[in-house]
Amino acid sequence: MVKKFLGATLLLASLCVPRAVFAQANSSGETPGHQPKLTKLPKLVHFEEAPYPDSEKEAGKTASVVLQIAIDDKGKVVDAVVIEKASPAFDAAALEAVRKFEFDPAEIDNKPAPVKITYRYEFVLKIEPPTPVINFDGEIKNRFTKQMIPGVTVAVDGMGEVTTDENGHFEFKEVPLGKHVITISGPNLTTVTTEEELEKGKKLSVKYALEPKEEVPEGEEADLEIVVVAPKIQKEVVSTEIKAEEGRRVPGTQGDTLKVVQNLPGVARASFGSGQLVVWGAAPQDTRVYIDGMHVPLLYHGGGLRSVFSSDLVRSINLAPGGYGSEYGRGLGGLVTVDSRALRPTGVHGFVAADVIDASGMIEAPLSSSTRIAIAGRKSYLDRAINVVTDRDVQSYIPIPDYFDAQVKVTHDLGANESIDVMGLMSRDELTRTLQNADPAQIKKDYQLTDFNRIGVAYKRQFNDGSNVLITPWFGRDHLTSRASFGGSPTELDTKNTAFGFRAAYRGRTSAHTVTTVGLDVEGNFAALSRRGSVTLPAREGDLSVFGQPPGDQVNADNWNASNLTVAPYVQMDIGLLEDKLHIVPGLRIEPFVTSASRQTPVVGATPAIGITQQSTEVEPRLSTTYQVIPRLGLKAAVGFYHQSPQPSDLSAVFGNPKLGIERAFHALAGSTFKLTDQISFEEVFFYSKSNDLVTRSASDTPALAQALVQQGEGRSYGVQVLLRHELTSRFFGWVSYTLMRSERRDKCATIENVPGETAADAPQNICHEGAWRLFDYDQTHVATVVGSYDLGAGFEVGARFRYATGFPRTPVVGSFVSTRRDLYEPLFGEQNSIRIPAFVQLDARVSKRFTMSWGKAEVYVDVQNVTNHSNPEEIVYDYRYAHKNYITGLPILPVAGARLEW
Amino acid sequence: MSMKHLTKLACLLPLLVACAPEFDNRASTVDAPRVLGVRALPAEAAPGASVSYEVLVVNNEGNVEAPDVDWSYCTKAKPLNELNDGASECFGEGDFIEPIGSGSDVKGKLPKSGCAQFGPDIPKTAPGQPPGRPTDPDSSGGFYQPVILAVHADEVDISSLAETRLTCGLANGAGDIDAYRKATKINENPKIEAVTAVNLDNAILSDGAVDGPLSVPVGTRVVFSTSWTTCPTEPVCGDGMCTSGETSQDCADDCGRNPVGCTGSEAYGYVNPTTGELSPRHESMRVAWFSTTGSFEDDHTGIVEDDYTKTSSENAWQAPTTPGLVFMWVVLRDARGGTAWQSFQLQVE
Repeated sequence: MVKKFLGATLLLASLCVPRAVFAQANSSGETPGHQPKLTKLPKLVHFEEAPYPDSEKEAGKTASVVLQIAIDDKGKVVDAVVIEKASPAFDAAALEAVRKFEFDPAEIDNKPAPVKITYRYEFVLKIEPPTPVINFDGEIKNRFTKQMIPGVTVAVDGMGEVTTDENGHFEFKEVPLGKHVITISGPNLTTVTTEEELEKGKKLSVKYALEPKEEVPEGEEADLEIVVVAPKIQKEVVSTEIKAEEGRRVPGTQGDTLKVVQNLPGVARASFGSGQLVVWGAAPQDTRVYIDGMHVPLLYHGGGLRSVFSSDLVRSINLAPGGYGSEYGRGLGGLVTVDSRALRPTGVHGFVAADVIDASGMIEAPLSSSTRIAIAGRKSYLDRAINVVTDRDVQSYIPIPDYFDAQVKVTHDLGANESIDVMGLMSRDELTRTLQNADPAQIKKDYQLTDFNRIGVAYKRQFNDGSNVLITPWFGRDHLTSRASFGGSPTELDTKNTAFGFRAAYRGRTSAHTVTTVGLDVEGNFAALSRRGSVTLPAREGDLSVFGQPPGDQVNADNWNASNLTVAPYVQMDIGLLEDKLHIVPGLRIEPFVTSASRQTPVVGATPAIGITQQSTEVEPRLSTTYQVIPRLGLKAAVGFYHQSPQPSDLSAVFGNPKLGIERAFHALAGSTFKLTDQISFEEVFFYSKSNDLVTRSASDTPALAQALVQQGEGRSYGVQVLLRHELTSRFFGWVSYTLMRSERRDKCATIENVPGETAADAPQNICHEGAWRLFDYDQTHVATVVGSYDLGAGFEVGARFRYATGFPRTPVVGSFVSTRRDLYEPLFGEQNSIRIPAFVQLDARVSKRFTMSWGKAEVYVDVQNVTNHSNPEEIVYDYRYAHKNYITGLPILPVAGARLEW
Repeated sequence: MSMKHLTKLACLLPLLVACAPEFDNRASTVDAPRVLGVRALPAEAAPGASVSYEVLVVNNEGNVEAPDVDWSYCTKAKPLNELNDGASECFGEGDFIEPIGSGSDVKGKLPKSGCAQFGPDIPKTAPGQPPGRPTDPDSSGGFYQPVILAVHADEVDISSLAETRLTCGLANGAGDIDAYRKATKINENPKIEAVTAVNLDNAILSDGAVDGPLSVPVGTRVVFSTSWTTCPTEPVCGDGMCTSGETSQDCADDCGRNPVGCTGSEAYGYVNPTTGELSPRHESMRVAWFSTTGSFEDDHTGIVEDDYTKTSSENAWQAPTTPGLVFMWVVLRDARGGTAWQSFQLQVE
């Protein structure tokens, strides 16, 4: 990397002596009439370099300062004045420097004498050539004997080639960032080619283990040298990947990398305090989240406050809002994959950080030359801090989150290209609140627990031909409890789930132009559930309700077990055509779903329970294609079928329907990406998704037994998203994203007409009437996000985030009636979802200062949400008789200060 | 810490909550025609039985005498995707509306299909169709027949839903019906024993018809107490009340013909709909307070069921700063749909 620095050069100007010399000579008592003669010039023996003034350097200015310097007979500078000025800064710098000059004194008549000279001090900007830095090195050894191999030729595209030394070591300097093809060849070695990626600020060190060719008798050498090219990693057609370093610096995330997902294109702004991910109009539970291949139930603590996984262990976050390939399934919505980073092989590293809400930390160290470990965790303490400054009343009223998460990662190298990772993670959220009231019907109690843990193993192996294998078994437990009471009406849901999964994939080049991935994706969930309360609480998407409406007091109870198991083999081929400009990626996933519930009907007296098991095999063809029209312009398209099994909580015979089947969706998208520069790209994607057999609440006033839920819902979403993005460079990164979208739902049996028989003997008929398309509860027509972060230098960084989002649809209240038994007014509704909450507009900002020490770094930051203190309506609320309407407003200006120390 | 104080404090902790707006109007202030309560006699009955109804309609000038009220039963069950207590269609027109009569009090016969449409019995379905889903009980184990009131007063139309508790079987058929019947008697409407002004020498409030309204100084803070009957904690044969644990076989005096329950916080048996387990409970009591001027500290007060031995509930009222006649009402409800009320007058001077 070329470095630039600014320096100063100077030129010695002419000596200007005579008048002064004559003056000096007269005062010394020389013989009048004798003309003193300068016999020796003063000689500069010590030059003092003036520091280049910062202000002038920043402005790129140069200058000459002419000074008159008085030198005594000892050669010391006794006085200096500026006689030709440049600027105050230059003048001062020059004066200070020349006063430190030392001379061999001038001689007049062969005797040391004081003189005055004129001196020109030049300030010139100079660019020094950078010192070449080694940023790519490695070693090559024999795969079997483990001996280092000298004399191996290593070539980097565009950089020439080097040969390994006697220790098998090679190095390259100043390899440009990005991906490079590495070719390794040598006597008695099969030539192999692979791909490496050089990242900013990081030195890439590799280890290659090669397999020597078999000895071939002379004269029988192969005529051809076969070069095997390692297949590139296939990314989803539409996906946004954010590097951890970017994610942590986005304003409004308080340094939490995973919160950046909420700012990505295609993601609707979540309801206040929900932390839900609504992607391309899909319900939150339809988007699947994976951490290192393990499915997790949620990504955020406490309603979106913090993520459940340490940012410092994150390498990247990838959001595919739809149309993803056959490696994943079981979800109708999008796909979020979080990949942990590789652990550093040397040194003990870590960090500690704290802000108003919580403290977090991590420690990472090698256990041996082949084993490394990292342990990270986070704990909130705001609930305890509040205790100190307020009385307990506040905690009873305000839901103060209490959460904890921890991760452990161990990596063990089995060989040069073979490793095994063990990842363990746990997360817990707990919330307790009791709101006393003189009115027994208004006493509210609330207890929420979300607790999950996972342990997974990832075995990775890369073969010499570039193919690779990844095997990931994992296991986990979830415990979700929600207990509330509103007056005398209880609401409880307790779910204990045991989950396991197994993913195995082989990716390799099966022909010159084809990379094939074959895999197996297994997942099982076994849940024990208990629920008590109103069938209508929690409300489902599509229910007619207003925020804060007291729940109905009709209650029931059920205990049941539910399980689902899928074993999905899949295959995907990446066919490169037209000199690799066109990629056609057909994929096929066959997913047999097995779903069971412990009881088909509610408990009736002592009648024994009869369970039900259903099996459905779904074939999911998927196809994507990308075409690089020119190096800077690429086109892409994808279509695919997706399926999702019912939620275990919906399989209750009392509150749901044990016979619910598979929900279905079809995704189609098309778009392009244009690289305006190497760092700036513009992408737009048009998308459409259609879903069927969605689980909805029965609209019948006489629902069938064990059919409180039915599968009569349809959904559709369509729109366009655009993303203008500046990749992370030395100073700046940012993006502008905008989504224009419409999401709708329809009930195939919105109203049921009960038609009496023509005669008294005829049975009545139920006639189903299809509903009209209506807005989805989470529809947001416009979602725009502008994010930017700029490094000012000297460790300072500033960033801003602007968000605009259309408000969620709501159903207007057009009247009310008095329910005299419970003495409350209840709303009468107009057309469903025909009004909206006003739009959300917010500007956030972040300022941080980094300090670099010899042993580590520190950072302090202030993250200010809602800088303009804009009052954003979050929900519509009504007075007690629904005659007057107003809004609950969201966060006012909120500064959060934090500090972080890492080594 | 009062609710208002907590609301403001919550706004100072913006990290955690949004800010909810406050509305100027309160449920306890009567400034327009209102329906404050509907009482059924008896408070609970089996489908097909006769029930008398009366309604309390008020405005800012006191009770509305002879209000214009049309009563009807609604036989349409509420769909599960509606969160209200009654089906919205009940406020429209259709075959499911069965008129009862008009006036401030009427008498009607509960529809015979009540326990199938609104209770634990399996609803009728067409042959070949799967059986219907019974209605879920409320938290006291009860089921209710909707009664629709169309009230017209002072040129204002008020829609009201009253619910009459039905005597039906057990939800999900769970539990021992005989044990349940012994533990649970049909509901009795509560009775207000007295409403007193605690800090005004316990003066008893009245409707002013005999001794005139109670005099209260302007701006005074008055603490009112509503009291109700004390119910026996153990059944006592011969006390004139048929209570939990008594049957007509072992106490014909109390539980024979036309039994009368306790007009306070009654004990009753609750059957867990899943396990069938019967557990003893007591009614919570809820008091709704109303006045034409001044303001109550709380719109509702009461006792939770665990405090059943307490037989009164208090509330503070701030008298207005201008003199005048104030109309006041107290409506007492038990947890099983029983209702009682009293009207009062105060003279603020």
